[in-house]
Order: sequence, then C-alpha cells, then structure tokens
Amino acid sequence: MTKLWQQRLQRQQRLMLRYLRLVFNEFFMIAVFILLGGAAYSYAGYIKTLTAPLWWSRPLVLILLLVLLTVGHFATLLQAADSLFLLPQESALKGYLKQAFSHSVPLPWVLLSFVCGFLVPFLEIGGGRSLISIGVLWLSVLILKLGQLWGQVVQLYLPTTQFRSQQVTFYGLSLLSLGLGLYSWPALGFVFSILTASISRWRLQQVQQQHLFQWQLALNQEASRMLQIYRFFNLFTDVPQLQGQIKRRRYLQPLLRWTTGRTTNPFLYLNWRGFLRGTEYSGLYLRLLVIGAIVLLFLQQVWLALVIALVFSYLIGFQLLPFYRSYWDYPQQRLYPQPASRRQQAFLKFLTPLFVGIWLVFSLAAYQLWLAPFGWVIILGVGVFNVAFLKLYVPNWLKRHEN
Amino acid sequence: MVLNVQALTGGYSRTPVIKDLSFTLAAGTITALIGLNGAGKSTTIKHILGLLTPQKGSITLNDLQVQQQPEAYRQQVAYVPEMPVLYPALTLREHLEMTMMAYNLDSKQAWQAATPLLKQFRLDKRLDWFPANFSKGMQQKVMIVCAFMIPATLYIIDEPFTGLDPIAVHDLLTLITQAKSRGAAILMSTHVLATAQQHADQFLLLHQGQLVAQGDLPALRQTFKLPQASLEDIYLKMTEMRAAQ
Repeated sequence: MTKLWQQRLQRQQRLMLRYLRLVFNEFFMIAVFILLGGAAYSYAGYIKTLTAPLWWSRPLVLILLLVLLTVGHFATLLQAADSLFLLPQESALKGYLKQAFSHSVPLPWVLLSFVCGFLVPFLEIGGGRSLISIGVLWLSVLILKLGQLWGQVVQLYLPTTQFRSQQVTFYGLSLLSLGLGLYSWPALGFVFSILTASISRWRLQQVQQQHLFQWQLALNQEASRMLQIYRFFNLFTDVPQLQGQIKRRRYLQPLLRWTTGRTTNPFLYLNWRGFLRGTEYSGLYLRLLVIGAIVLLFLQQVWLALVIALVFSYLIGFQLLPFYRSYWDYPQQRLYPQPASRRQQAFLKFLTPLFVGIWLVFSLAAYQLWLAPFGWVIILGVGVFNVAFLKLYVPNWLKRHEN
Repeated sequence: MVLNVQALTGGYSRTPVIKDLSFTLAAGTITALIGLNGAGKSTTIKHILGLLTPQKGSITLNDLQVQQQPEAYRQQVAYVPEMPVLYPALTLREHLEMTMMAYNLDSKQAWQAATPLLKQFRLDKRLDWFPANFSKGMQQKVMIVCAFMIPATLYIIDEPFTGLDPIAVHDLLTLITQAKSRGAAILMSTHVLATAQQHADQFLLLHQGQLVAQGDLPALRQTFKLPQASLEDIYLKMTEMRAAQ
C-alpha cells in the first residue's frame, strides 16, 4: 500500500505539474503580480487610515477564519476500480490513508499561514491584538485545520447522520477556541484547539476500529475534489476529463427552437444541442468573445482594434472547427442514410449565426471608434473576414477532414 | 432474398478475421449468428453494416451494395449494437426525433410507431430525460426503440439479451417476431443458445472466422450426426471437433 500511494502521488504530481505549467505562463504570472501588487498597495493604504480599534474587526476575522478552516480537502487519490481491487486490503488501507493525510496537510497550512500573515497589521491596529497573541492564534488555526482534516477521514467511516453531530461539535469548539484567541486569552484558545483536534484524532481511531470504510462515499468525494481542480484548470486550458459534461439549460430552449425548430437535417439538430448543452465549445466561444470585446472596449486606435478583432475572430473560428468531429466515434453517425455533404452543410449552417454573433459583438465593442477616421473599417473588416472564413476556409477544411 | 453474402473475407487490418463466408437471409426469417468470443461475429456484422470494407467477396441487400448506393442501402438497415451508444446532449425524445430525421421518416407516422414501443419498454414517462444517464439495461431499451421504429427490411441485433430484464427480453422477442411477420429479415448474434434455438429459423455457426455449419436445427443435427441434440449440444460438439483438429 505504501508503494501504491507513492505511485499514485507521483502520477498526480506529474498531472498537476503539466496543468500548472499551462496555467502559470508568463502572461498569467505578470497579471497575478500586478493584481497582488495592486491589492497589497491598497491594503497598505487602508491600514494607514486606521487609527483606533474597530468593533467589527474581530467578528469579521473570526468568521473569515472559520470559513477558511473548511478550505482544503483530504486527498485520497482513490480510483473507482479500488473499491473492487483493494477491497481485500481494507485493513492495510489505514496505512495508505495515513500517507494521504500527511500529503493533505501542507497546502491548507500554507494557505492559512498566508491569510494569517495578511491579517497581522489589520488585527494589530483594527483588532488591537499584540503580535504574540496573533502568533498564538495562527498556531491555533493550524492545529484546528489538522483536526478538521482528521474529521474528514472520520467521515469516510461514519454514517452521515452520526457524522453531522460530530461536525457540530468540531465547529462549536473551533468557534470557542478562536473566540478565546481573539477576545481574551490566546493561550487558553490554543489549549482548546489542541483539545478539539485531539477529539477528532481520538474519534478517528475509534471509528477505524468500529466501522467499515465507506468506499462509495470516499470515491465520490475524491471525484468531486478532482472535479473542482479540473474546473479551475479549465478556465485556462482544455481539460479532457471535463469533456462530456452536459447541462440541460432549459432557458436556452427558445434558442434551440429558433436554430433547429424547422430543420430536417439531423446533424444540425445534434450540433446545436451538443454546443449549447455542452460546456466545452460554448464556453470557449463565450470566453474568447467576452475577452475580445473587453479588449476592444479599451482600444483607441482603429488599426490596432481591427487587428485584434480579426485575431479574435480567427481564434474563435479555428477553435470551433474540431467540434465537427465531436460525434465521429458514434457508430450510428456512419449508419444514417445521409450523404456526407449533409453533415458539412449542417456544420456551415451551425457556424453562421455564431459568426454573425462575433461580428455584432466586436462591432458594438468598438463603438468608441465608429466616428474616428476610418472607424468603419472595423465593422467592414470583421464582416468580410467572417464571410471569407465561412465561405472559403471552412468548406475546404471540412473536405480535408471528412475522412 | 433480403441479404446475400458471397465469399466474404475481411477484418480490421490485412490479416483477415473472417474468411470466405457465404450465406443468405430470406425475408421473414430470424437468423442466429453463433460463435465463441472472437469468432468473428461482430466483424461480420460490421461488414454487413458497411462500417468495414470487404477484402474479398460481396454483400448485397435487396440488390443494393453499400459502396455503390450507401444511402439507399442504409435506409433499409436498423441496428442495435451490443454496447448502447447514446448522445450525451440529447434527451430520449430528441434521440427519437434525430432518428426520424436521419432515416427520413414521417414524424407523425414514426411517433405512432414509437409510442407503443416506449410504453412496452416503460420509457414513455422518461421522454425528457437524458438517456446517457440511464442504467445499461435502460439504455439498451432506448437503442431497441430507436431501431424498431425504423421500417427496415433488415434488423441486425448484436447480443440483444445482455443487460435486459426478463420482461424486456420477452418484449424484445415479441418485437422481433412482429418484424419477422412483417417480412423483415433479422440477424442476431447471441450466446443465449436456448432462446436462439426457440426463436431462430436458421443458424450460422462461426468458428475462428469461418462458417462451420449453417441451416435450421434438423440440418445442423444431420451435419453433426446428433439426431436428438439441442443447439447447445451441437455447439459444444462443434468446438470440441474444431479443437481436436
């Protein structure tokens, strides 16, 4: 089991590294530094305006810390097949979970330490606490997070109803501990945090002896934890694991009626439903459209705006093309008594309103430049480009990619 | 004759999986395609569907060849795959509408054909659900409804009984019998030999890509010299004989 954990961890780290490299590219890092710098600067400015302790500072910090205690999940890295293959090894699973636990602690601790560090000047001036008492509070928070993580392991053994009462006890004691740390005796708060975490630890030992591991719950939790991580990465890059996510989106029903209400082309019918109910391509289209429009809103030079609008039009169009092949793995697609030309027609017809959308949004976003000399070239340029892309580039691309 | 397969050799790569298969399917008959895992049943089906191109031989469906008149050929075939394949973004109703459009069916008539099928398979209350989230058995029922609402002349059903509850198996057999009495040919590959023996009019026994025997039960009994044998006895005898060779 130790070896298994090591293998899983290595694989997970490789995967995370791959995505992190994509997320933290130079542009993103520059944006993050500017944002952090700006935030730190305005925070410093705000602290300077504080003169006397504020009555709401301590309750605010108390709520903030309690909420932050819930951030950071116990990562088991369990996989669906484990519930079958590892079932005979259930007693050895304790060792595996112990390693998983040690792996799950550092990241939330770093995050909590970062927040506590950020709060130091605010608590010193606004809350009127000494540096030592803030330090003790920070230690209490770390110990409580340890207890909260132990609680998450307990949950994997306990029936949900019993676990709920355990949660109430944990957060009640955490409130008491942090309250003591913020309002009166930090040392006593610290003692309470140790007591709270110890209860969780003791409870874990107890449940591991009395209850069976709840495989399905553990698998569901791990899947939803990974889903959260993938969703974050998906903001920046394509995440294959997130494909196939379908949402009903009933509010888009009128749009579906408008686009496919009278069609007899099955491929057009499928394209619109797949596009609007899926997250991948519609998300991509909207993201690029919004980013392009925001950039255009702030541009003052006509020719630069034209180049940006054309680049974004091309990017959107180019990224939408692979959607044509989304359903190729479905055998029925090849069994339908329909010629390939009908599939191509459907795709062109599907792209047309999306390109009209690009033209409208980009033309409107550049409204400031309408009256500038040559301002009209943006509206005309994007229009001509989109027509050329649809009428010349896409049909050729479709022919090339038919087989 | 609905389907005529002559000297068919084919497979996925240059090495043929099925070798020199010849058989015919008559209108209004049920044919069971029987063989061990890997015998070439699915490959044979894929060739008939036109998903694979034959290396040698020919396949003719009512005088049509898939390479020459793909649309007209496909218009006559309905297929239920072994593993249900459903569009994640479509509801059950939309799967039916998609099938109607794809097979150029008249919407009113197609709904008239589909409604009793939906009721029979207890799907009529789930028209606005996404079948991609159904259980495997329920998904298989959706595939069956989509296939049997098409007025095809050839129905190909790959392992039809796996994953279905006993009532659904009974309902499917009723549907197959109805299609047969309408004059359609049915080709089903199956491992459930007792059911095949009870319902099929002829059997195709495949082993390592070759057609070892074909015909109705009396013909098979004669071929293997087992006068009172069941299909299962014949099948076991065939595999023993082939293993000995």
